[in-house]
Amino acid sequence: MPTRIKYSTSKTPAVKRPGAKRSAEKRAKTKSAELAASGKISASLAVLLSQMQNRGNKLGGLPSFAAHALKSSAPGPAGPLGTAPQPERVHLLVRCDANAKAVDGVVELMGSGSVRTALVAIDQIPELVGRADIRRLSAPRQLRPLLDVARTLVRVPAFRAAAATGSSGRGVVVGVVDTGIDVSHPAFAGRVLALWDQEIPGPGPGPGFAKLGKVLRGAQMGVSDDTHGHGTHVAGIAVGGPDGLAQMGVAPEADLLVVKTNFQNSGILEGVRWIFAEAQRLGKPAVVNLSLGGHWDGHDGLDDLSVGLDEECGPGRLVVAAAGNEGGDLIHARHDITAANPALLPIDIASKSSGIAPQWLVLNGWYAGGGQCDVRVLSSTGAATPWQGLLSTASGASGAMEYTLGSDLITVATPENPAPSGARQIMLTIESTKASRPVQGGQWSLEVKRANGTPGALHVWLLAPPELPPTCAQFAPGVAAASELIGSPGAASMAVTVAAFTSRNEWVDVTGEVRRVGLQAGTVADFSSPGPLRTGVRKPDVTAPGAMLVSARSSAAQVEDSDLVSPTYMVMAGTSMACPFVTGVLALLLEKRPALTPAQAKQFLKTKSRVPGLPAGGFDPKWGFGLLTL
Amino acid sequence: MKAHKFDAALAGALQRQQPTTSRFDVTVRVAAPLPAAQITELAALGVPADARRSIFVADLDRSGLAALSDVDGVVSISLAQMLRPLGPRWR
Repeated sequence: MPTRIKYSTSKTPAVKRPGAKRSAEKRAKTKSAELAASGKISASLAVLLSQMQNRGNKLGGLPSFAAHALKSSAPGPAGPLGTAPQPERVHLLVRCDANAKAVDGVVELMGSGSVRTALVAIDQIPELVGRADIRRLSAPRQLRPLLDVARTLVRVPAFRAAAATGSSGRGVVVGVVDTGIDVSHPAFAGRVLALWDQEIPGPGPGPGFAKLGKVLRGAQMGVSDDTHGHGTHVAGIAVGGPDGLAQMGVAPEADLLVVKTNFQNSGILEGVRWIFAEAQRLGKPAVVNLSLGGHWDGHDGLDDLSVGLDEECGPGRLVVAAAGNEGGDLIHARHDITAANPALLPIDIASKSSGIAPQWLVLNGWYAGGGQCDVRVLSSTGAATPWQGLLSTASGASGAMEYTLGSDLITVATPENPAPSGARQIMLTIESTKASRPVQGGQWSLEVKRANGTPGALHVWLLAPPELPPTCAQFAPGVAAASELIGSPGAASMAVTVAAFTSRNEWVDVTGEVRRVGLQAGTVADFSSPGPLRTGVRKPDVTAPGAMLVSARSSAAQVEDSDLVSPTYMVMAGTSMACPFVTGVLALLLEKRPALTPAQAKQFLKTKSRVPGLPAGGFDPKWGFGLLTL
Repeated sequence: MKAHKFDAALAGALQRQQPTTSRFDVTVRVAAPLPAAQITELAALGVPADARRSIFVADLDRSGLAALSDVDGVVSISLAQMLRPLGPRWR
């Protein structure tokens, strides 16, 4: 959880007031206290109201932190001096029911969804507080643009201004394959060329593509939303505009092609192909952002998605992928198997009482294929599956067997034929057979022993339901390996794979509270997944700012106040955020060099990156070739 | 059916999913460049293939998987993997 730092401000200095005003002040203070007691007033707004009431609802003398929240009212009817004096009005952020009426009384709520704004006179605030569909009112704060910090750190402004580049991404297509996009967000005004929503029924993009979802253009795109918010944030980092805005992205004039994917690796590959095909039709170079990943593959860049991406890349066709957020997670184990040294890998599974017990987990094991192994599973109750060797797939046999341990079903797949890469895969699924109870908690074990040949290094990655924390099922600390945690598509040879740097670890949220996370600023983020690949290939390629970045917020996403910095911008962290930073940089490059190849792009990034403490060109499994500094 | 072309994940899924109506999202690896005759065979099975690529996608039931595995140029058939956005992990 983020560390919360309580909002604080200096005490208002005592002011001597004429006696005639005391009763009015008392009423005002009582009113302020009543509003605060409603529970709908944020701390920052309570301070603001109190200070305003101390000053007779006037702006003068307020500390600068609050002054920006106040707006002079529009001119009223002409008075003796031309314009009648108007009460000061305050600009509020309003948390409300998503279907709250825009007008229910005098005050008008602006915007839509569950976070809106209102410009009100002080004496109109009780009306808002009294509405059942209003949940909280807060005063906006003057914010520092965190993405601006990241851009400056990487020297994007200077790079864009340089004569040799002088770029904004104009004429380049940036593809985003993700959770969708809020096309109505002003950061993307008019620049989303088309959107393939793979989650709505439709015929797909047409000949040559899977019959999956529907391609939307123009006003049609409004039917697709981003309820997660991830894709909108990612797109904003890469290409958010308009140019010059504090929260603008790296390439604020690039065009966008968006795939709201079903997150199957097959759908993702089709999405990348569609983006490149559309860009080619438009005669524009393209760079595709993949802020997604998993651990179902062999972590060798030879899985179908990685190979498929490699085939799609070429001159003017680039792919950027996130390294992953599993740094420090105990989800990978490695063991060199010999006849005398079988593997015994303990796995700690959370108990039902913990509240995070998984309903299923998968053990994804790989070894080089120069030998053969037998495998079995021991449950926390001591029960074990029989040893299982390679299974014949002749006569239509599947190459897998099922066993029952207690109320858990164990599927052990050990097909006799190796993968196209030559490596052998073993895949074990442990799932509860009862919907009402999770997998048996406690310490399980995976045992793997040599049957013949030289199996070499066994690698096993542990997968559990993504909605649960990684501690729901993990290898015992003694056997877990803190490396080789970059899976597909980050493992793809042609993809630029990006690790995350913590450029900031605190921010001021929409209610005025300072928020801080337990990440050390100024270094590679703890959560960033380290390489290399299982085969020793060097990954990630480069590090870029990934925490904490402010970018566009989807209006369809439910967001906590602590993550919002304004109704339309929010903070996020992850290699998902570092990835589009590099995507934006490559869009700037493609504007000047539209035939840039993946190898040239990687070489450019390598020469512009450096690992602290290492000589130029030095590689580190966590940093890759280091922090990008243009 | 040439089940040796199935990857471990698909082998496990086929073992667990007994109903013949189950459908499977898969990726298909072929020996590129695929001859025209085999491209036609794949197209007949609902797999949009071409001569330039080696990886294609398909959504098939058991009988479709069996037929696909019998096509000469098909090297392997893998169960599609569900990936996820690499979003906030700092909470």
